Amino acid sequence: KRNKGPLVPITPMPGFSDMDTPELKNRLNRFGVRPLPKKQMVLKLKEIHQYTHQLQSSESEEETSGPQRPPNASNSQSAPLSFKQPTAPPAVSPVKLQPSEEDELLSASQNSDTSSTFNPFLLPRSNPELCVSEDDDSDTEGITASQAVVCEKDKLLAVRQFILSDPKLYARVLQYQPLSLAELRSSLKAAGIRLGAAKLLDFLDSQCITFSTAKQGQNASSRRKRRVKTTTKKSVHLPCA
Amino acid sequence: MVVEVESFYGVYMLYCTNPKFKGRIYIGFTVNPERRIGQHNAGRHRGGAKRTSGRGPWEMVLIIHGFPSDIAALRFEWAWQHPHSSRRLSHVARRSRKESSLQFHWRVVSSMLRVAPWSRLPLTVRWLKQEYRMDFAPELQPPLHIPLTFGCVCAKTKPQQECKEQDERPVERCVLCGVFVKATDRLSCFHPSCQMVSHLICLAKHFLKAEPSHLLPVEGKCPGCHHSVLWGSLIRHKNGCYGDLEEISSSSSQSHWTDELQL
Repeated sequence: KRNKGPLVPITPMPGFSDMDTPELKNRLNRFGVRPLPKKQMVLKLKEIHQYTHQLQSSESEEETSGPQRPPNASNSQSAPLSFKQPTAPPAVSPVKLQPSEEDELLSASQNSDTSSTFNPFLLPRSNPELCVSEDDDSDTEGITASQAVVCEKDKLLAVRQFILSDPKLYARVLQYQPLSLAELRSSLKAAGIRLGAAKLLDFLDSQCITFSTAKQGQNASSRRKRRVKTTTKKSVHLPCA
Repeated sequence: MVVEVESFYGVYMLYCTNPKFKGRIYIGFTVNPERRIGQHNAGRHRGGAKRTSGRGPWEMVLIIHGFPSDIAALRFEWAWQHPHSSRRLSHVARRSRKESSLQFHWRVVSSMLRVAPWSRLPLTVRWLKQEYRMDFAPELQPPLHIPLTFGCVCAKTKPQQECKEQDERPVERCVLCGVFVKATDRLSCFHPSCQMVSHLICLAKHFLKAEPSHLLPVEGKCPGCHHSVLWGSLIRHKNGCYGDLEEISSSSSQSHWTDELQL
């Protein structure tokens, strides 16, 4: 009964990293914790989840959703608490604040092709290269470091194979068309390839594949059209040299 | 000579010529450089950015173009503006005291071109004003396929595609696998008189034989005419952007631009 094999979790950890700030605040509030900066809220919620789900283990051998061993080892013998927490909805777009943020930025930058503060991802202050949160790729304490490296290599190869085996997807890559990150992640998940967000981005970068974090239905060209409309009214037409 | 380019996505650098503002630099994105510089110098009420408004006069001295999409260009723009926040540029040192803003930004962009995801894109580095031009530092040479060039560039709207031509085109076979080629994945060589036609994926795999670990080719020899062609040029040709290809195909028949470098 206390075998070492991976246990099926009763309540898998919700995708805290994909939740937006109001939801995180709300969840913390249930535990009496005040609102914190977003990253800290995610960490805190994960910590709380582990304390309350002590025999949780990962779904697969390699991937974990957090450190395996709970901080107080003395409780590890107790039966798992069977809380029924609603599982988080699958992540469709990395940050739900995105569209409204972008709209604000767009209206502010109507006077230019793009203001220097425009960035396609998040708040101007933050780093857009961290646009996708790091969820499942945290430390893999259950296996050795060299095993982790090997597993990662296999997963990268699997992603590579996945792209090569899908002619439509590969055709997009070959024509430099941006891939929707959300779509790619869900397709990979459906194919059983579990790779953390940061590692996936690193892989796409190394292959020089452009990705788009745009929410479905709000693609770059529609944004661009809006901007072009406002600038043509105001622009000064210069004859080509 | 002005080069006309369709489907233009560029990231540019402005230099302030006002002595009061001591060589300030501004980095921006545009699909039409000639219109854009006019907007900057006319001020924010005429489309220029707030940050440059009233702080001119500005000259557009350098532009990196050839980005295949606005997203790719915008990401490049952000990283150039924030090299120390970009995770791909953590190796780029901060501006030293003796470095002017112009020199610093040139150093940053030189580093960026050597790094993924930009190192395999079909980019062109273009100095628009000769008097500001700088060469790449010996240790910061760009990838071989990225040319350094000079002169003005004009964004051109693509003429309405010759769709009819495509429907009437005779059925063609891929030179590499022999199977019929559909218009959506058809690639053809842009060198005059070369008849090569192939599937997108077939030719990509052919080019990637030299770089098996990659998914996106950079360049290769056309199986028809054996000229060395850039993958980016083939894609632009497929999309109907011929403007800068004439420049490329005429120069490649003479010599590679690197031959003319004095090292």
